[in-house]
Amino acid sequence: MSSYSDDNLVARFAAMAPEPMHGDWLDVQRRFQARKKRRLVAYGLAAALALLLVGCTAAFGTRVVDFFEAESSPPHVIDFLSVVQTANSYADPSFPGFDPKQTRRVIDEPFAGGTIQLDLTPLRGEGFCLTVRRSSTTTDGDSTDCATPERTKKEVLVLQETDGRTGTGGGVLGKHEGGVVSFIGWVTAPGVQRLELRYEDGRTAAVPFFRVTAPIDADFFLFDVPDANARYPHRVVELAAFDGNGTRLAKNRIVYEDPDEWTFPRYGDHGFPPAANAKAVRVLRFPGVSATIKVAPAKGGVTCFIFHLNASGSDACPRDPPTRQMFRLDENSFFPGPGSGQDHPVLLWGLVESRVRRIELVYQDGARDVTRPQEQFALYEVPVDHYLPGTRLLGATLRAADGRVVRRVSFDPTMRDLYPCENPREIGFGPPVCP
Amino acid sequence: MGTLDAELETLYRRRHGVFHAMLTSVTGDVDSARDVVQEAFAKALRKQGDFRRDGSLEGWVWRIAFRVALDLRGTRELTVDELPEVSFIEPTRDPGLHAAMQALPPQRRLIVFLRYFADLGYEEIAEVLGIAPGTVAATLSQAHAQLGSHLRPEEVTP
Repeated sequence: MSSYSDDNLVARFAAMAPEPMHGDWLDVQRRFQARKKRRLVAYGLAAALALLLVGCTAAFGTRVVDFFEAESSPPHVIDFLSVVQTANSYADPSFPGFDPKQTRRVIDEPFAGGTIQLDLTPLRGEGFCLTVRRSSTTTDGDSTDCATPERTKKEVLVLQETDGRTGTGGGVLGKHEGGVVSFIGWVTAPGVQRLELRYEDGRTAAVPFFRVTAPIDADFFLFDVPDANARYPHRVVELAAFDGNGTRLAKNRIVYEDPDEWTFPRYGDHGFPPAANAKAVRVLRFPGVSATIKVAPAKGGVTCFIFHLNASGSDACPRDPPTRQMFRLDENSFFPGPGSGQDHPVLLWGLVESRVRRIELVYQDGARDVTRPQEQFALYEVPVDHYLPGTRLLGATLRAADGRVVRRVSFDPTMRDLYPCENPREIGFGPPVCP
Repeated sequence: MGTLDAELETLYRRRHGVFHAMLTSVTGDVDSARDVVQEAFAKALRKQGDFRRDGSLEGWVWRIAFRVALDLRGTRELTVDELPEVSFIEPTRDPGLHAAMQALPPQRRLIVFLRYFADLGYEEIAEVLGIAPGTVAATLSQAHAQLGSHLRPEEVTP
């Protein structure tokens, strides 16, 4: 049999290449931000659950909430849901929508000096949206999530994170030994008689739940994982719903990836991975920049770093050329990057070649500046008076000690939504955007 | 590149069209594909701590994208036995290639698409599909042989 050559296939597939099309990164970021917002509120639930369970455990499992007997939700919730509806419709034109005024409050409990409320509103057709609001002395927030018919086809048992560690699908973000510590969710399968949690060590535990009648027609649960099950190898790995015959109706698995010696801890004190020498951490400071870069020597001559500004940033142990390439200073090395809202500086940072001693920066208006790398890290803050179009950063020349050019980098001054602006536009979803 | 966020954004801007076209053939419609691509990149942003940096970023995102697409179809796991069916070759643009590709078994067809349409390397394809690079190479070799029997003789290498 004759073989078809690689070159011929490359040529013929190249002719099939799709036309360039508009892919708006902001849409991706809005999805990301929306999920983060949900997570924020869910975080508040974690602590709330303890009191809820103390006060209501006896009632859960057999408790039935008649939706139409429940009180109407207060105006601020209805207002919030109106925004939610606008945002959902913006993101998804097929979203079925709802009448915010039909929202009912099914839980309103005191907790830790604050309160937790759960409100439900039926979607047009079928399905519902769940709104959780929590306030306390330390945190405030509300979030919503919807069980649309389309989603219900795919997700019968929805398990949401309440501590920011898991994704909606039950996957754990980041790698760490710690597990899910609390969660909230619902089951839309009919006939649920038992919810059972399974731990890594094989033990199981019943999860209390309560039912909300039509038009919601679903079972809801809130659960605080015991401290003894917070860490490997005793963590929560599965939640399953069973009917009266013991038949499993649905399950949701939680997948963990155990840490290795090069994994940075993601929660609590953000330190270095075990492979790094945490006792030899140094802080690199750059003139005019509030952010810093922490570095620590690691096995094999590797230098691990943590670059953080407030709650976000980046860290890595560049052990190989591809990783170093990933963090190389280039045209996209801005932090926090486009679509990050308004209250942040515009930083330029990244790794440079070992022989680079001087980085010359030039702006659209002809202004120039110089920064110097430290231990191959460059970190520079673009001055506020260079945020406006016509004044923005245009390029960088990286020079060696003898003045020779090592590399040049060009920046796109029209990069959308990179620089904060005076009049950002609210679009009802995610952070305000700038032109 | 400064952060993984920026790397993902660059990848999105550069390869959005290919992701979208490829996933259209998996999901069956352009709207779902748009949703899948956006969700895949949003998920990549959320799960960037899971990216080990020992493989390519694009391969990792493709794997996420396929998982999202399969979730949309109600399938949870990405296994070689449940590879998505791809058919993105417009018959009118290249009838010969379309017919030859349709004649390939689904697994072989997907690997050919990932190699030549998505332009992924062997290692990346292996990462996306969770198979060995050697399996990718062997499958492509088989695909070349099978394509050779379908495409025009003058285009067939000896």
